[in-house]
Amino acid sequence: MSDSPGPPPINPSTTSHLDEKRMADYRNYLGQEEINEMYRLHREIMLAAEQVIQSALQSGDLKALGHIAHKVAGSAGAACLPIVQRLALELGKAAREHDIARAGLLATRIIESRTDAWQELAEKYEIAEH
Amino acid sequence: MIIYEDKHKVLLVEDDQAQLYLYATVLLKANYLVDFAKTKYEAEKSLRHNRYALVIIDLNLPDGDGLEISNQLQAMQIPFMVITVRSQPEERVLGFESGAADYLIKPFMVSELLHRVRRILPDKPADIPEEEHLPIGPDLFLDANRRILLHSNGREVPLTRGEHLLLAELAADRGQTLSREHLGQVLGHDESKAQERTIDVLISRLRKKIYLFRNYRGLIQTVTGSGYRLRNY
Repeated sequence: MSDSPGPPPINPSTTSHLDEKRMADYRNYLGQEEINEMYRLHREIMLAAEQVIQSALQSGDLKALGHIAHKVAGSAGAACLPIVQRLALELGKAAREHDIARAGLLATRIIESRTDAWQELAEKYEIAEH
Repeated sequence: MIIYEDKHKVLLVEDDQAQLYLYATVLLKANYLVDFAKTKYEAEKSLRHNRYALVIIDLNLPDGDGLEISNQLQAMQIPFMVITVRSQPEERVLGFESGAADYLIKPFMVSELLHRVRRILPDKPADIPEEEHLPIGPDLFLDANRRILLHSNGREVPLTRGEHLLLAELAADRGQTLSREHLGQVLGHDESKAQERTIDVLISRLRKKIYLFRNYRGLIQTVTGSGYRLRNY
């Protein structure tokens, strides 16, 4: 078992999973259909990336894990999901430090946070999850 | 043919499809022409065939670091902007040392992206004669109008019509082997053996002229039994 601390707690009752300022910025430049299309592409990328993360964790491929964590961080950041982005950056750090146990925890947290964020997108901005 | 454009043409190099869509849509709405590439290889290929006013490049590409094409961009005098999640001060310094005109850390507001693009590009694009300077290497160009080989150090070597046509054809399909028959057709020749010999002579003359540029002495490669190809730089 790893001695390193787990990811920092996030209180779901007080924390939005979205970067609202950047969402507003996007909405100044993009129509609803364009925003929907961007998020459709984002969802495809995230779901594929989560599978790669699981495979890398199972095989212990830390190089692949670091690479995909970086990709997730970039994609989540652009999609206004700052918590997912931060967790992905921490996942990359755990991969660099060969801390597979912490990486596993972070991978779970990424899926949880991403799920909450997508739900919030649907509720606040009518961006469907399909 | 010289084509004059009234819009700036931007090459966007980004492997994340969602981000590519986001940035391209915003730039198109702001009246820029946008090409895109998802890999370093695709970017290099686009640069060989097009003239861009600006290249916006992500650093983490599937086939390498985006900064690896900075030398080529500098030689072509194309400004480039880095967009990346690499936020450490030393990483930003490295970006600027590579010649970047700007360095934008992800995630960013698209309004900020537009402000920075507008700061680099003038309001009205300069008239850029398309295909005037076809890149042969990082610092060697084929000037199609004057039919000369032009080095960034100012050295110029005139070419004959045939030499020019052959080099332009090889450069357009860089890395691909082109048969003597194909090259003969470019010159308007028939398929006879004698004409294939003409190709060999022209290639030999081209090599002698290219020999004057020390770094390009192996530029034209012979592929035994197949033809010729241009080496990648």
